[in-house]
Amino acid sequence: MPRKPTNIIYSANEKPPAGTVLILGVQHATLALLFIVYPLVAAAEAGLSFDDTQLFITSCIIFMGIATLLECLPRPGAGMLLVQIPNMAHMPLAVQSLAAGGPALYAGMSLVAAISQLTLSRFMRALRAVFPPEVCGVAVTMLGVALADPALRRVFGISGAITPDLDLRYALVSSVTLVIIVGLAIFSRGMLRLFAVAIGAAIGWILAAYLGVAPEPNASFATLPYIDIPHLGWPGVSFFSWALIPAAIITGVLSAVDMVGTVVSMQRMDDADWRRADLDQAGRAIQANCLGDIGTAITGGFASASSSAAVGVAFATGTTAWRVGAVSGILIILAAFSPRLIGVLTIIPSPVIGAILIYAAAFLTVAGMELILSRRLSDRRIFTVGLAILTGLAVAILPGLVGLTPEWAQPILESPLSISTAVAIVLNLVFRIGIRQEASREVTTADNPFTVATEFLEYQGDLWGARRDVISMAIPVVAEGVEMLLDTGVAPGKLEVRAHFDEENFDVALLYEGEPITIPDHRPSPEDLLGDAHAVARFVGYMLSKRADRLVLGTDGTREKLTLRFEH
Amino acid sequence: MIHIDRIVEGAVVVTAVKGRLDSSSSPKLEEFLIDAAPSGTVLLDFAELTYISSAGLRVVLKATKLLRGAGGTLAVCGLIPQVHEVFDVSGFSSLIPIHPSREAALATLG
Repeated sequence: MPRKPTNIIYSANEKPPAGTVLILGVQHATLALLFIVYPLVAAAEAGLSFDDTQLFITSCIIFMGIATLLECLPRPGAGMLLVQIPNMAHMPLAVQSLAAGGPALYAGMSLVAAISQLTLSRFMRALRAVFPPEVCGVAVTMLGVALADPALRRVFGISGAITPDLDLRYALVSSVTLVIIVGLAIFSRGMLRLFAVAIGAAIGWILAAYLGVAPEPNASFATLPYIDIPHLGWPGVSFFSWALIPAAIITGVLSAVDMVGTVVSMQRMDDADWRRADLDQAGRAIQANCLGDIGTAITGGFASASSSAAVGVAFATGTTAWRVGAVSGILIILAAFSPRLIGVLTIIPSPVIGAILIYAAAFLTVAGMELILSRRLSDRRIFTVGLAILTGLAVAILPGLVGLTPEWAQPILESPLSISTAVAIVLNLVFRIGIRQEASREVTTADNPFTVATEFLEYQGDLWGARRDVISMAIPVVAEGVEMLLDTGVAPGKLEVRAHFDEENFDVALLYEGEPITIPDHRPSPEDLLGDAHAVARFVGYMLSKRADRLVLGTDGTREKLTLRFEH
Repeated sequence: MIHIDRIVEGAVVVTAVKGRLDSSSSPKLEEFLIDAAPSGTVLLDFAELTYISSAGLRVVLKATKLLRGAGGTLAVCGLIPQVHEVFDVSGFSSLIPIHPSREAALATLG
């Protein structure tokens, strides 16, 4: 059971009061439904008819809800608070395939993307080497950076090119909303904090209406029914465009990487002692997402994926309980039965949404940095992280460069998140070349044990990307072992320190020619420290057995072997 | 590697140790303690001690026995968590009085 961080009120498996679950579920569902603007834009870009657009949106909402519910349930889902939103990574694929072959082609390409994602999710455990914490950290940081553009455009009310007549009323609404959300998240307790996002959004909306920047509902809004049975379509499935299949596979892989980033940031938030990504849990979340995507594909809708903005809301409200997500999933499904409600959500002022996205972006950026710095960084890892982030920023700062690349590559290259994560994965794999998982060095009585242990273990820790706290804990214990063996003469003159790292354990073996030592079950008297070499060795051996996670005595050929294990 | 200061605070002789106390540095502390405080109340201020090995513990134990034999007292203060762990695991916590800070120790010992 993970240890709950102090800033979390209700962790993943906790059961908040029913009223709290409901209101938090409403907050998450509302935020998720705001993003239906993405499929609306895609439908408009592709020139879909009114009826096709209705089916496109309705299917998207229903399967967003179903996938949210599946992901949040402990089994078969991931048992964590994940809320689906329309998947931005699908935007280029949707626009291209809808324009080229209508809903049937997009359905086919969505299925290809979903199957690619599903296939990847089956190998998550094997992919552990591909997703070490610094690669996950790059993905999470860039999730935040990727939110910056849509967030800042909404904050400043920019829809196209930036013009000198910037309307500062938008920025004022955003600033007030953001200050309220951040202020409540930091300084308030209890109910106020739980509803930080809803309170901030409500006050922001009122201010936007007062300042005249809240959009007015159009004429057709009044004709929308409050309750109506949603209609799902069956557009058929077409795979005729071979040119789009690589883009579909890439979209599936990007969606999976995006999901891993969201899942890891939620895991990290929920566990004060977080050590590494639980990729099995991420795999289950991706599989639930794939089921949703398959459903939405065959019913003619737009695909969805876990929302990084929801991670920000979870942080602001201090609640990561899966039950909240499950309720929001049900509410999203119910929302499909109310065209009027969906209509209302489409008119929430954009600077209010901008403030919520800024909050989420700020959280994710720092959460990613924390992940990156949770491990010791060698030169190789520094460049893996630095170059990956710079590549993502290059795409964000100089988007014109992407237009020079082949069309099939543009979906992956135009997203800072995708390109950064891809570069991090590739550099991580390339830089692993030549790194052995075992290293050793000799220590003699002329060496200072502490200095040797520090230099050797820190160097290897950097190279292997070991956790800082594990290396810090190992150094004095290994130094003590070396000092005892050499000073007492149990290891006459010299010994070998051999370190081995396999992600789960950090083992340091001390190998020497000499007599074996024994480890007592009970603590010897401190007086033994003033005794002979054997008494001192027994005393120190006992201390080592208590300070390492495990101590194993054995032999290696003709040499004695004392192995200190530190769980990683 | 190691830096030792001696401060007299009323009836208490404070010995502040800075650095690492291992087999190469502990003879210096041992010599210092034997020369400077053969009796009375000695407080070892380990607030800036970053590492102690069994060789360092041995010196602390010898000094304790020496002082007790002469009717004196030895206490330690200001242990950082890593050093505190060594005192706990070795059983020294129940052998030697440990104070959270020099001020707290002087308030008790003075």
